[in-house]
Amino acid sequence: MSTVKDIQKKACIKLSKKEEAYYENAFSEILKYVQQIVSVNSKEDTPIYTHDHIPKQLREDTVENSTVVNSILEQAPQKEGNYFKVPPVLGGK
Amino acid sequence: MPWINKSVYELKNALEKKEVTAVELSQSLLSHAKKHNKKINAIISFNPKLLDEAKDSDQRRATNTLKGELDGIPIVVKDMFCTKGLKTTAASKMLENFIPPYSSTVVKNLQNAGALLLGKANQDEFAMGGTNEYSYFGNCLNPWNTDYVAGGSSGGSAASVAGGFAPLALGTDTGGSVREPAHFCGVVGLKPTYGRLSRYGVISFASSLDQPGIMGKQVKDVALALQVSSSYDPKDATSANCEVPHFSKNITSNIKEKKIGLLLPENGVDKNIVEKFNAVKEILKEQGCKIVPVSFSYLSSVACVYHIIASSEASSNLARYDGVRYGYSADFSKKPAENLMDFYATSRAEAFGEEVKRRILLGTYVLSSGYYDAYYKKACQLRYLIAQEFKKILQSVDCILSPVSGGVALKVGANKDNLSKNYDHDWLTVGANLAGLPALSVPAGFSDKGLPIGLQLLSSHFQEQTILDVALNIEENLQTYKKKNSFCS
Repeated sequence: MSTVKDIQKKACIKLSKKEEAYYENAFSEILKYVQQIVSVNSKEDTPIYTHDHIPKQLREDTVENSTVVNSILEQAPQKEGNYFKVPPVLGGK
Repeated sequence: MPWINKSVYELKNALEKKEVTAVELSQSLLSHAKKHNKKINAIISFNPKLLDEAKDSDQRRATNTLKGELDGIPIVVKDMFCTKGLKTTAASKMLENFIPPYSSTVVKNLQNAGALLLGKANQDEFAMGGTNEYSYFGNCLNPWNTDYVAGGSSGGSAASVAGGFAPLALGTDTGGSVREPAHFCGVVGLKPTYGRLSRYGVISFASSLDQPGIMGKQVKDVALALQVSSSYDPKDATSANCEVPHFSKNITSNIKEKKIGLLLPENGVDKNIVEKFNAVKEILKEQGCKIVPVSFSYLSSVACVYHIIASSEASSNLARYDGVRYGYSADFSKKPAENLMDFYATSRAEAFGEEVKRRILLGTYVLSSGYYDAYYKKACQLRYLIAQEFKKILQSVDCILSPVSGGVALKVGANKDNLSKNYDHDWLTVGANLAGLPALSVPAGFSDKGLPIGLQLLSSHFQEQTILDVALNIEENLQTYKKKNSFCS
C-alpha cells in the first residue's frame, strides 16, 4: 500500500487516482525534507517544549446556559429540528 | 485623496481637529480600497456596515462619548479572525459562506476602542503559506510591484496597509506570517509574545504557534494597537494573565546603552538585505547601542522542526471540518455517501486546497504509529533546545537584529512548485514562534529593483517595548515610510 493511499484514510481526505499520484510525488519530496531532523543531535532524555512563560490558569468548571443554538444551527449544511443531520452511521459498506 | 497613506496618529489628529469626519474618512479609504483592490486582491470582503459604524463614531465624537483610542479609525482584519455577522473564510472553499455567531477577542478589543472594520483581508488558505498564492480567492499582489507576491500568509493585511487601504491591519503569525509579508510590503509587522493577544475566535492552524499580530504604517501605530488589543482572556487557556504595559505612552527612540545581538547568516541572504542590515548596524552604533555578534546553531534545522510541529497540529485542528456542523458539505443528491466516513472524506477533499491537503497528510503521517518518536517527539525536543538557545542569547543582549528572510518579495509563481525551497523559506522567522518570543519586522529601505526590505528585531518574552523602541529609532533615522508606491501617490 502506498504512503499516500494509507495516510489519506487516516487524514479522512478522499483523493482521486490522479491526485493520489500527484501527492505521492509531493509527499516523497516533503518526506526527504523532514528527514533532515533525524540527523540533528538531541539526547533521548531531552525534555519536550512547553510554554513555561505563561502562568497556569485554573478556573472552576461551571456550566453556563447557552443561548447560541439557533445561530449555530444556521450554519449547518443540513439540520432537522434542533439537530445536525448526518448520513446513517450504521448500515454503510 | 488627502487621507490615504496617513498614520493612525495623523488620522486621530485630523478627527480631533474636525478636519475630517469618520464618515468622510471611511468613504475616502473605502473608495480607494475598492478601486485598487481590483489590481492586488488584498480584500476578500468589504464590511457593508462600515459607513453606519462611522456615523456612530461621529455621533460619539459630537457628544463627547468616544469609546477609546481608535475611535473612527478604519482597520483591515485578516480573514482568520471571526467577525460576528460578517463572512469569515480563512481563504478556503471550506468556509466560503461561513458567518460566525461571535467575534474574536482581539477584534472585539479593537472595536471596543472605536476602530471601524473596513474589510476582511486575503491570505493563504488557513494561513498555510508564505506567498498568498494558496488562497481560494486568488493571489494577493504586492502594491510596490504587482508582478511580485505580497508575502504570506497575511498578504492581504500587509498589502492593505502598504496600498493605503487602512493604516492598521490584523494578521496572524504561526511561522512568520505577519513579519514576512510586512518585510515584502514595506510596513511594520509585529508578532507579540505567545499569550499576549488572545487566540479566542481566531481560526486555528497550529495552536502552540499561532499568535495574532499587528501591521501598521508606522511603529507608534503598532504600539497603540498592541496596547488596545492586549487583554487577559479566560476564554483562551494560553492567554497570559499579566499586566499590559502602556506601550504607546512608554515608547521612546532613546535606545542608548541597549545591547543588540547581530545575527547575520553567512550564506543564503540577498546582498541588498545584507547592505541594509549593515547600514542599520551603523545607525545603532551611532545611537550608543552596544553591538555584539551572536550565532544560532539551529538555523539549518529550525524550519524543518517548525513544519513537523505545525503540520501535526494542523492535521489535528482541521479534523473539525467534517461537512456536518458548518462549512462546506459535498453534494450527495445524485449519489449518496457510502457511509459516514465517505461523507467526511469527500467533503474535505472537495473543499480543502492543495497546500492544506499536503500539510494535513504530512501531519497525519508524522503523528502515526511508528513515526511519532522519530519525527514529532524529536521535533518537540529540538523545539526545547531551540528555546533554550534563544534564552541563553537573550540573557546577554536586549534584542537580536536579523534579516526577516533570505530574499525580497518573490515573483508570482517563482517558488510554487519547489516544495522544500518553499518550506525552508521561513528559516529566519519560525524560531520566534517555536520559542513563543516577540518579534517585529521594521522597514529598512528598498532593493535595487525597488522592492521593500524589512529587518527583524526579536526579544525576550513580554519585552515588546524593547523591540518597539529600537524599531522606532530605526524608523526615525531612515524614514522609509515617506516613500510612496503608485497606489498612494
